[in-house]
Amino acid sequence: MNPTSQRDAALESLEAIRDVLDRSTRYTHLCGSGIVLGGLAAIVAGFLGEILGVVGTWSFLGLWSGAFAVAISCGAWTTARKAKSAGEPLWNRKLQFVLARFSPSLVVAALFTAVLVHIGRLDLAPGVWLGLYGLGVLSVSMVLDWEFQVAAWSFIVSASVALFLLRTEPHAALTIGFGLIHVTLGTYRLLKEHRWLRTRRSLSFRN
Amino acid sequence: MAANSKIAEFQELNSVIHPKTRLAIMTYLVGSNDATFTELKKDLDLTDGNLNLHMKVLEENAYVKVEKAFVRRRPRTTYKVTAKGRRAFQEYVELLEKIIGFSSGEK
Repeated sequence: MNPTSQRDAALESLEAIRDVLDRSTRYTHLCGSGIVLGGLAAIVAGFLGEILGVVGTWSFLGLWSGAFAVAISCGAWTTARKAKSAGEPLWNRKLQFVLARFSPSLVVAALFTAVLVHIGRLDLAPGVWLGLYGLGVLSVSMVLDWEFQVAAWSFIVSASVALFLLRTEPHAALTIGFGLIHVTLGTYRLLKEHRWLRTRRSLSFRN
Repeated sequence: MAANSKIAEFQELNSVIHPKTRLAIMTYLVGSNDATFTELKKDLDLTDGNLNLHMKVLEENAYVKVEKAFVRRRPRTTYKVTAKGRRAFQEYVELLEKIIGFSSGEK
């Protein structure tokens, strides 16, 4: 083998190493259906909020905390189901990484909510929640597929909309932000998962 | 003379790691620290037989260690890369980089 073809072979190996390293750290158990269900929970909450005229501090917090709990439960359930069907452990290093990166923004969101309730400015809560949620998604997007990064920026943009344009319409802001973005992201994931099942990627690693 | 010594260097690439499937397995394990049999099989698109065969070679060379457990009455095999395996992988990558550096200097 001459030096040039050696170099090509070495380059090819390094390229393959990079590809597998990327795949080995990627978290793929987040399920499209769970994300769609989470989005639907937000849409239902927003709809109920508008219909029932939920405006009081505690009823507003109760309604959206409930929606958040339902969304998280749906996500956890579908993730666990996906891991189980793949015969893989749910609680693995990748999930620990995702939770460790994502949870600080939820904690900060809770702290800000307490402050906003205290100073009587709950109208800012949707923007703060969407912004911090977007930052949380952005911080874990490095181990997720590219569409999560797009979704993260969409949450941040919707936070700006909630803070500047929809401050008097908190239910609409959260429905658009959490509801529509999750439904769009989840639908895309579902299509991708379906396509992935049909045509599995073939690797260049076959001997 | 220099070209000859570099050709010899290429031939010195670790023959346990060098085959593409084993390189993929080692890379995956170095990246994730540990992985189950199913994970490796799915993410690297390998068959049971092929994966078993290559894992056996890596085990024999003490590059990976195996942990077998029962989770909800189902067997689960987890592989971890050993310190020796990690070192060998690092040396392999360094040698690849050396080859690339040498060859681009030649051009």
